Amino acid sequence: MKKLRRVKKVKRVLKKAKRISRIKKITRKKTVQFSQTQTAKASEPVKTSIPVNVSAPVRQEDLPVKYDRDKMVLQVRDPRWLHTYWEIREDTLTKFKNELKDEFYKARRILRVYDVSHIIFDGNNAHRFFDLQINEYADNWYIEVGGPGRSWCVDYGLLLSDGRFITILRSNTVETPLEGPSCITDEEWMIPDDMFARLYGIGFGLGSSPVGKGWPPFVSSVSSPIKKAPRKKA
Amino acid sequence: MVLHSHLPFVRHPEHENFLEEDWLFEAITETYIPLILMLEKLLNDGVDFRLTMSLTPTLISMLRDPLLQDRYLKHINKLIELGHKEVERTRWQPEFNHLANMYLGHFYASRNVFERYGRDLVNAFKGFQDTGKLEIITCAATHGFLPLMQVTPASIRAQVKVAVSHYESVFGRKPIGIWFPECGYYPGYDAILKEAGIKYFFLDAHGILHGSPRPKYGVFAPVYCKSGVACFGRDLESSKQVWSSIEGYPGDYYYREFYRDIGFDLDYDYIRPYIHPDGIRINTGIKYYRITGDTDHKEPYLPDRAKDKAAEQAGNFMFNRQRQVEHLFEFLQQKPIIVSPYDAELFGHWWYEGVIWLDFLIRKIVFDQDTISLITASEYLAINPRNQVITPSTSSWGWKGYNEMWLQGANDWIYRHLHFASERMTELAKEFPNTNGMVRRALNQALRELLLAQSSDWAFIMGTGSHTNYAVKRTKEHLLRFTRLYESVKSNSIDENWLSDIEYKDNVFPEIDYRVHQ
Repeated sequence: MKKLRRVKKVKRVLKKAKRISRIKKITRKKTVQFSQTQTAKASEPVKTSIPVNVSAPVRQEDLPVKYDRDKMVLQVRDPRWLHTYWEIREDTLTKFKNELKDEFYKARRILRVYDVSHIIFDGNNAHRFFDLQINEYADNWYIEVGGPGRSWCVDYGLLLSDGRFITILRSNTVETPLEGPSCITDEEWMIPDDMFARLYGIGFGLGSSPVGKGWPPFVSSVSSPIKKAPRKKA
Repeated sequence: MVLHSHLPFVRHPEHENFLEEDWLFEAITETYIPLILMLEKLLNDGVDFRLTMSLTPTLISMLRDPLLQDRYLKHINKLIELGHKEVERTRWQPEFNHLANMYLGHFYASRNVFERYGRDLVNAFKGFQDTGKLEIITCAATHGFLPLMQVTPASIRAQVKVAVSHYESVFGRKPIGIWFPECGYYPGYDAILKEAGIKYFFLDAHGILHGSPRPKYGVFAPVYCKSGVACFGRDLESSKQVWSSIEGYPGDYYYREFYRDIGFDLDYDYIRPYIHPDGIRINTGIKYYRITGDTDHKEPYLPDRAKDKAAEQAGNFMFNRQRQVEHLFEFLQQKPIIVSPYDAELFGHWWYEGVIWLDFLIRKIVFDQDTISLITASEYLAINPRNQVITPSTSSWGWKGYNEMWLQGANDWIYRHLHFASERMTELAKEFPNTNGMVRRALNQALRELLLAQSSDWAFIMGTGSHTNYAVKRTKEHLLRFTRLYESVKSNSIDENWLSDIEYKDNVFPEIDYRVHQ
């Protein structure tokens, strides 16, 4: 009797172990698909492990995961955030592996984000840049640039142990929109600051706009004389 | 006053009853036909009104599609049958019986309108436009969200040019204005509008207010982009009065409750023939209760009280616009324009009394006062041709005001595929400048599939988290069809049977020319 119970217990444990290993397998697989589910801030310490969104269903089972090309695309999400996705051909990686040998495996995968406002970017003349370390399986990333009204370009590359940065991919350039009124005025269509501030407040109605926060000191002090008649509830 | 009417292309010949086709049928019965009835009455009564409406190319295509027309007729006949049963069932419930009769009357009127215009409701709108009182503008071909096509401008050009030629074939003239899907804009692509002969478009308020240089008149006068195309900004004050979920008009306690539909409320066996054949309960459009209050207990709907409320609120809206305009005139020393755009489907479908409200508002503005007047954007530009030149700012009227609704964890995966397909389409257009026969058919179908995959609706639905399976399926399906077409054109191995099959299924824009994708 005792023996039987023990056998049953062993079986249960084995079953459980199997289940766990299956879950782990699935999780590993999904890491490749979902690289960055939580967006990383530029200023935050670099994260090496990427959280995995297990609850999200795999959506691309019918579409290819890659198209066998070297490509990096940068898009604007809002005045402070960008999104980039990329893919690298196996051949391209092999080329770097052959060239860099051991260094390749020791190198860190980096997104280098350049501020390229008002210049023609040649790879060396950016106003400034910052790096984000990413997982080698990542294929897209949200980047907080925190800079409305600026132009941006991103490189995907390798940061070698001696500090050299090797570019593998370069994105297109995008411009983040302003978050408030432009400081540029038009001589012919001049408007005094205080008048424009009033107009700006009126333009945003009673201040409910999700983006009407560009000029708080003025906006809070003005509003259209119109107030909706309070609604009587029956 | 601008009404943006749009539905994605949801035509499914492969199934007799397709849940998503109901989106169209509900909108026809609850929004488009009530609007047509309102416009007819305004014209009959000699009301000199002005109204702007966008009808998206996908919506127009569905309204003119014989299969969907047949299905709508079946749908409305079913509703008439249900209406009769409801009149009978509520015979001893006076609080509901008059409502059952009201719905039955409207179903008959809907069928009548539908047949009167030869089953093609676009004819009705075309007729109103020909009187000069309604201005119909176009929209991107499949409502693609253009700011996320920045790396593939050929697709923006195709979205605009396919829309413009489709509009011309339907209305017999070029469109003067365009509604950008979701008001999505980034600086520069107005130049494509210029190429297509379009004179104006609309943006959300911050698109103008954050433009550079500063717009002297804020959103209360149009501006010109450097391309020479005019741009009008949305007035948020008037928007909020209607849109706001807290204080907006549609939330009035006397208004009809949208979420108490007999499709969900009544006994399953009774309602079974009028819901989805698989037994899924759906909205029938027959709803007997009013909002009542912030409570689950609902009182029966009182149409006369609701009508009084709509009249009162129309008066309130007009009063507010009069005060707003007086204030702005004093301040700006020129006549301001106030742009109030809404989704058309809000009126009648979501906000049952919305069409009545609009009718009251139009009549009150025309007859009861002379401080403000209704105008179309093109009339305004004809009277005031001199306007400031600025570069508007990247913006949308979606959640948070930029691109995040269409670019977030739930939907960002689509752009890798959409952009690649778009590049391949450009490659095909360059490689085959002159073709005919089957290759031409395949290339035209490839552009149809690409455009259908680009509908902003799919990314939007994925972003909201409900109905996502359908949106994912549609995105993939069109992309996979595109890829197969691309590969079969490149390898000169087009399967004609398969091509005919998808031409039949995705039959939007029959006169499309793939060469616009450049």
